Amino acid sequence: MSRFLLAKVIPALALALFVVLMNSGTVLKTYGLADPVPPYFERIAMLISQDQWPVAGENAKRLEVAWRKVVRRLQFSEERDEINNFRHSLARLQGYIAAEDRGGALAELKELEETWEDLGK
Amino acid sequence: MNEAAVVFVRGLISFFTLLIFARILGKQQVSELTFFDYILGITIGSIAASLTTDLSSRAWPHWVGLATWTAAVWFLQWITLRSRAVAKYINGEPVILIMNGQIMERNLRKMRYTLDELLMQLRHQNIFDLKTVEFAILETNGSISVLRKSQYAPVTPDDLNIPTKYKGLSTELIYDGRIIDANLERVNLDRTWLEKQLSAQGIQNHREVFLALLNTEGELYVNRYQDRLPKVTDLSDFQSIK
Repeated sequence: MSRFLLAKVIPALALALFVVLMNSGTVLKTYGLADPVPPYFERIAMLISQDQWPVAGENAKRLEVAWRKVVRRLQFSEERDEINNFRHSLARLQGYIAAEDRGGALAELKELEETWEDLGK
Repeated sequence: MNEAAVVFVRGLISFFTLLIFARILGKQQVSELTFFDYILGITIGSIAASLTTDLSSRAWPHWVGLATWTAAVWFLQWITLRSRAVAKYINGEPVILIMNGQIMERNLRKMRYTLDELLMQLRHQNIFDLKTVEFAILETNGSISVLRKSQYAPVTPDDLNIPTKYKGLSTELIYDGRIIDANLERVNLDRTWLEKQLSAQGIQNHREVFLALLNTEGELYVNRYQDRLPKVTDLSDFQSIK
């Protein structure tokens, strides 16, 4: 192995890989997903405003499944607290939907959306 | 979120980043570090540790912090190579602690160096009598350089006008059972010569040799894997501790 490759090329590539990995959150949170997270925010908000609580509850569960898939990709680049915030907010949203509390559910949904926007920044 | 997996990946990023950055910063030995270099090293290490285990913030800002500190150190190194004035300000200047056998108390106080530390450093250099010291200088890395008075300095061959042979660096010809052809070529020798030399020492195959060095006087030092000692001294007394 040449000295140039060992001393310059490999370190430069390694550093570039690290930078990409640490900043991959913005791209990975939506790229190539069969069931992306963002459409759920609007859909669930609409269902809540129409008082369709059982359907909203089902969608919240599907949102949780979609989130679990995304979090596997995001965990290496994002803050643990933001990831946990999203999870806790989602649990509270499901609680509000079960209680059919429109104000609380919409507030949690807004918080989820905001947390989602912050991921990768 | 699998925290252990995240710490593992961040640990790898941190370790190899630190390795690469350390290579960029050069080969300064720990013993040559000034107090400021030492603090810089600790800070950079601390940032790398946070990058690995502080999952409450993203890896990227920590990495930027690491890169910033490394860049700052590199810049300081660069500027100290170009400006003697800046180098003196950053690294400090050597200070005389003993002159003609007399301790410079003011300088000791100024450098916050105790007499005990000074005497200890002198003893490390086999100096037990202060009157034999012409100069003792506190270097910027905290070590002491001593110049003995000429009447107490060890005699050298030059003092006695004794001619000496040139001694340079030895050349590795075999390492770990493998012949280093490039080094053989460099000293204008070949494998046939080497094999003849080994054979003269009772070695049939170069794979039996762990290390073979050629010194500047043309003597070949050979160390085999199989040591031919009747009894190997064992310094350990671990077994006798009860």
